[in-house]
Amino acid sequence: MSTQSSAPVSSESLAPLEPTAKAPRLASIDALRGFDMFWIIGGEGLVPAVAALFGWTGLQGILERNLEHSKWNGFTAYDLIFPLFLFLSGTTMSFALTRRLEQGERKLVLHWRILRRMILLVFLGLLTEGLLKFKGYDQQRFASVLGLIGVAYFWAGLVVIHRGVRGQVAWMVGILLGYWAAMKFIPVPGVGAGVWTQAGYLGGYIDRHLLPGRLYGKIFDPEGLFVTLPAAALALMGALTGHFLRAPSPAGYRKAVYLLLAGAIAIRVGLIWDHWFPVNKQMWTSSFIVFSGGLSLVLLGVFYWAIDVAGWRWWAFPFIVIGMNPLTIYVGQHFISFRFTSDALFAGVKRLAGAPYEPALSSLGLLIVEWAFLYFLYRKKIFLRA
Amino acid sequence: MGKRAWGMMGLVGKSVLELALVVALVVGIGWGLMTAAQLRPEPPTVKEKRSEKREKPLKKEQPLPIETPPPDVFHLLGDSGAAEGK
Repeated sequence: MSTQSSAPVSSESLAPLEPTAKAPRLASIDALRGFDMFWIIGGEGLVPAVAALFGWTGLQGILERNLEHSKWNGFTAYDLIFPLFLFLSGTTMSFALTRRLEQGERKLVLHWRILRRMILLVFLGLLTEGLLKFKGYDQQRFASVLGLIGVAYFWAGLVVIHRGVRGQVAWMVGILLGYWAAMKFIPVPGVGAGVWTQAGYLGGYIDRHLLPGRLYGKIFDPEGLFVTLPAAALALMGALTGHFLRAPSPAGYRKAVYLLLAGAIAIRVGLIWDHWFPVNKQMWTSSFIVFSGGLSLVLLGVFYWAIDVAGWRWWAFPFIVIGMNPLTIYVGQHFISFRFTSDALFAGVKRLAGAPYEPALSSLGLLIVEWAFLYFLYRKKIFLRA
Repeated sequence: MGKRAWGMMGLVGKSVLELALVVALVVGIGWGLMTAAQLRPEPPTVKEKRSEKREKPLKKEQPLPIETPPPDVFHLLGDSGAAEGK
């Protein structure tokens, strides 16, 4: 991992490759990434606690249902966090890879960059899964969220480096159709073809036999080997969106409208596909990719319009600070006890406020500490990149 | 049909062909991974591992297995180990 300095607002926080030439930076991508991270660094605790505090039972119920993953088939808001992140890392490819290609950078150099990024993310993923705890080979989980991002980015990066926009569309659609065909028609020994249960689906069978160590779901892993392909398709969808954002026309709000329209169409396609291939986050089904990609497009359209077109940036600043250092806060959570600092600073306030306020203040304190840490890095222009 | 239309059709045809190749590639990767997985034995599940652990300790009244050699067998036989080249 390297520590680099750059301008405070960059569109490539997790995308490691800093632009080689000045170009208009899209704060909306950083803000949306920060909004995404907000939910996993404390928002999931804070928002329901605030709803409970004010007695908004209807909202509280909706939040509670949506702030945990679907058990198997289906979709909750929490299921969107990871694919949205992957989509946004794909979006930055257009700024990080395509622009460099246009500036004449050799493909070999770009290969090395995406390969290095993949290796670093896989390694960081191993760290977050407790590599240094030395629990033994059987207890070490080798798949990880960061590892899947790294591998998917690598596959998608290869396509972006070697194929034009039309080719990238063909690869994205081809991967999604191919993944569906493989899951539908390749027979799993002892089970048969197209049995989409935890014990029966193709990816789970592959993970049980080929993925070493511990699997997240005991008999399958949602960040396993075969799912790197549909995840790459989602990153490609992000890359295509990035090309569109970088294009000079259409300009302004029309671009946002197109993003919203494309998102609505993708959501509809995902829901239709769900009839034949269920939306499922654990299996990263093609319908899940299209559906979550559509939601990502809609969110990006809204953020793009509000921040980069209308210029309403004030509300986005807290999210931009988070979105500039997503890797830092994600990995940092595994190694730094923000909770300890939060308790040291806010335990007295919580006691004075009384029991009803404790859950909300507890989550708020944690978020304040984490955000202050990120703001310090932001002010010092320190951005950790893989 | 004009040249432009033929050109467009050619591009679409190339894209469709590329798409078909990608579909075949992904199915091939799935098939390859599945075949590789079949060559490896199914790892024991957590339940199986636990039951194996439970079976390990011997009961007190259980006699020692017959194959267990008596301690210091070479000494008892008067063998200093020279036969093994020590």
